[in-house]
Amino acid sequence: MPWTCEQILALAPDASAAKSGRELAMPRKWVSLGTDVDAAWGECQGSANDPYQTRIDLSEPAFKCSCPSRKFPCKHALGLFLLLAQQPAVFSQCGRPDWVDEWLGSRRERAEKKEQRREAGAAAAAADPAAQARRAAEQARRAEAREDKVARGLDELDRFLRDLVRQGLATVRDKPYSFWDAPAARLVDAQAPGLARRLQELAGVASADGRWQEKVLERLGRLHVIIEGYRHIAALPSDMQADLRAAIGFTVPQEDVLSGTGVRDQWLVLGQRVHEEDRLRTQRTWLWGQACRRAALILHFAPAGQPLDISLVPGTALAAEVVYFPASYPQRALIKTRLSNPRSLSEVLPAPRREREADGNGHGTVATALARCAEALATQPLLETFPLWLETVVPVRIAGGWNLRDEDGRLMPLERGCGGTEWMLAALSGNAPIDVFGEWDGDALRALSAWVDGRLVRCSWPDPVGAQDLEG
Amino acid sequence: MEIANELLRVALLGTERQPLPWPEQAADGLGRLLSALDAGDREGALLGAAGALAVYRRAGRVSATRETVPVPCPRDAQPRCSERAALHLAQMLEDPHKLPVLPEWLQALRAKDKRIPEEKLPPLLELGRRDRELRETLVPALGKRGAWLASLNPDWSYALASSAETGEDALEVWQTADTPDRQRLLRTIRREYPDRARKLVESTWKEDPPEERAAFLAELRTGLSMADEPLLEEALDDRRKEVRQAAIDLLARLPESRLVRRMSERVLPLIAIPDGEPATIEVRLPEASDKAMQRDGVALKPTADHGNLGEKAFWLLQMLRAVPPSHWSHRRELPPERLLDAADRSEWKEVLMRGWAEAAARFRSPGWAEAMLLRADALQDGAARAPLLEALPPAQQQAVLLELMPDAHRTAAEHQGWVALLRACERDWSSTFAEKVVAHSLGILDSRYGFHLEPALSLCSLTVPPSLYPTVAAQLGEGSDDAWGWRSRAVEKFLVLLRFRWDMLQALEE
Repeated sequence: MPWTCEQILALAPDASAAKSGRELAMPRKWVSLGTDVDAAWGECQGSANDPYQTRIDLSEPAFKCSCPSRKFPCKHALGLFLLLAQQPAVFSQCGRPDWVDEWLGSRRERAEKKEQRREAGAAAAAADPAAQARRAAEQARRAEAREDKVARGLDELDRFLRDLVRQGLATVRDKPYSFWDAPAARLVDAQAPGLARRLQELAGVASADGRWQEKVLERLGRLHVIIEGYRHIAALPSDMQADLRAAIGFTVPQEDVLSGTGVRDQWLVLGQRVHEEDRLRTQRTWLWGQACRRAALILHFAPAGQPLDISLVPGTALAAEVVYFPASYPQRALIKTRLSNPRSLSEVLPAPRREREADGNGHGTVATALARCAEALATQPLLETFPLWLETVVPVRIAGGWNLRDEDGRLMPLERGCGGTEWMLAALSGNAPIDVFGEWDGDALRALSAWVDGRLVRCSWPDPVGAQDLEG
Repeated sequence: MEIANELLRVALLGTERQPLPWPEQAADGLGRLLSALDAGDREGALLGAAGALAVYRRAGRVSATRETVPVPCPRDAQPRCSERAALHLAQMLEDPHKLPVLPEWLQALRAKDKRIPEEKLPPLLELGRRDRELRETLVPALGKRGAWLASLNPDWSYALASSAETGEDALEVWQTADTPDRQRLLRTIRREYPDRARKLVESTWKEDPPEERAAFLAELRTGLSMADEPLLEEALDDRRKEVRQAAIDLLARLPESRLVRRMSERVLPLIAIPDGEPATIEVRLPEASDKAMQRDGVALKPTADHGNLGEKAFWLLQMLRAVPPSHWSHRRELPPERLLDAADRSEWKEVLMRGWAEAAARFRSPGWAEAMLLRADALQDGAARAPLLEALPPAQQQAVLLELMPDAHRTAAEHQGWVALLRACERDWSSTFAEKVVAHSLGILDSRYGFHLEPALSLCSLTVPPSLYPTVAAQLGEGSDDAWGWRSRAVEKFLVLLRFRWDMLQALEE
């Protein structure tokens, strides 16, 4: 697919790598350059005697360079990729050198081995009932210990909530952050990180402007629902059990998820954002199934300063099998199998409105989108954010606040203080309809991208702390 | 919802002070849910009801409506610039080293009849808010979408005046805008319609505060002609010194003005150039100052930068600089060089040289300016001579700079002086000139004066025609193994920026 420079630069781990990468995107910096369908490669003269060998696996993309940089992708990989996007003519097509072939081969081998190991593991487990029983017993013991801890944590949280409403919420606004952080820390110890995060967020909600009392009470009520739900979990259907466990912070092993059957579709990468909290970076990537019209949220985690996954680039689309984590309204998912190389979104989506099917690509109007959200809440009441893809909307400012107005005149408020996103959307629209993708938290939409004139434009702004969710 | 308000009230005060309001519940789903809660457990019931209501409200959210249909902004006919060009723009916006190229990019964008990608309009408008100089190239490139966007944000209103600049509403904008905007409006109109611009100034002359009157007069320097003379002559009687000074400064550039005529009448009798070889100059100092002299800008006391001159010598200097230098060459039909030689031998050398230098710059006398620049000591004080260079047409500027180009044996001050003159040189360099300047800078860069040539090289990276890039890059050893081993960072920076501009202009062709 034709990668755009912007997409490539979005892969840079930091601004300085992006800058150096751009400066390396000149043919004169490279001793050799080559490409074929699956890969691109080049040798770059650096400060060492031998040129650095840089290679790109175009199917994901993945990178490998012989330079000593710890950044990933390094400036050579970025420079090579940018050069490929800008001046493909300077790349020769005369066959892969060994150092590229070996790398691609080893990548394939590793992927196959991983698959074999998984199958072999499953087979071995089935073949040795005694070992299987031992492992199961050990797992059950650990699970029981955790259940105990969580139950005690929930009891403590329950007392904390009850004390709050007994004494009244009027004074919580004046409490220091430690008022929330201390019980949150105890919830982390009790292995209930999901609840800990919800409690921590309350500090920000209590000190925010506008209807804070109502919002604090709503959140306390939702916490109470989780506690009560978990106490009666045995009586609930299995999907709802999964919802509750995810909300508390139980994780599901990825192998378990991947062993399930996925949804095969053309998945459009519509939005991505990264936020950092407690030295942990979380990247949220939203996919949209073109045929199934469902969203899938792919999460990647990395310690601050470490590279995040870069294989999903907004503005691209790929055929893939995607498996959802168990939930009554599944959102979080994993990519099980890639069935095609990524393509540009503009090749997949019909651009001008008039050529579209009557019912469009996404949710359509504000009313339809809210109805979809209500349906989702009806099956999964604990849902925190809901992805919306609004079509033919116009950003309008009403009394200082920005909204998206659909063709029926209905309004969807945009998140306030998002550092210029509203102006960017206004500039893209010029009062003419555009499509906007974003996350709806029940109060406001956080726009992540706009689809206009056949191109996906990302909205980016420094990410505020908080407001994350880890469903699944 | 009543129940929600009641719950909130109790939650704020605390269940220990307030009983739970547990009114009869409606028979709908929510009512059935709420009545299932154990009212005896006050805290549990309150929290449970709050949790249920939170989901209930969120699921039942009804959006607000707005009847007014937004009126679409007219479309720009120009195609959006290529993706590669947009990337160059993004680079300029985030890299301060590349930002100085932005005006060139904007001009090229307009020349190629392309438009700015819409998502880049807000950061550009924001940049123009802080950087007034940028506005000149930015505002015309914004297109209809940019102007429309600016109309929504008062911070960006500077981008709006353009529609009024040549149109009918210029007068209205002139009467209502703030000072910087009026100045900008004036400057733009003045370039094409000097008379209309002057009439704008006259229309509010009586009401405008003195600082503005002075600032507006200064704008008349563009397109100055005898048509402005009556207004300027009148301004000589203004109550405020700044206004008078601005008027004098302009009148002393109009050879036909009454002020110049009066000055000539004053100073011509004081300077004699008797027959004989070599030429000599006899100077008589003015004897007394009078009101008329002072009105024409001949100040009584020497200012700090004329500290070494006597009072009367200072008067003479002020008269000399207000008289076109051609007066002196026409006296005995002597070329400027001969008169300068004569002045060199005079005891009033300093007064004559300074007065003539300022006059040559003001009246744009290329013959005099060139003669003064090519004198032996020209590079000693390059910065002070920059106005003389500006009096020359571009081709002549470049010829003079090549002539003056100092070799490695000259002093540091001379190298600096040359760079100062280079800075004053018009921007559109010929390829030959650019090549020579680059070669010179690179040659000197390795000498002990290399330090002084670094600014010249960074100036070159912005002014050298980008089409020279392949030649220059080849000269610097394109593709050689130790490409940067011995080269200084200055060279690399120069090449990177030149390459960027070369690339950038190519991308705008796509």
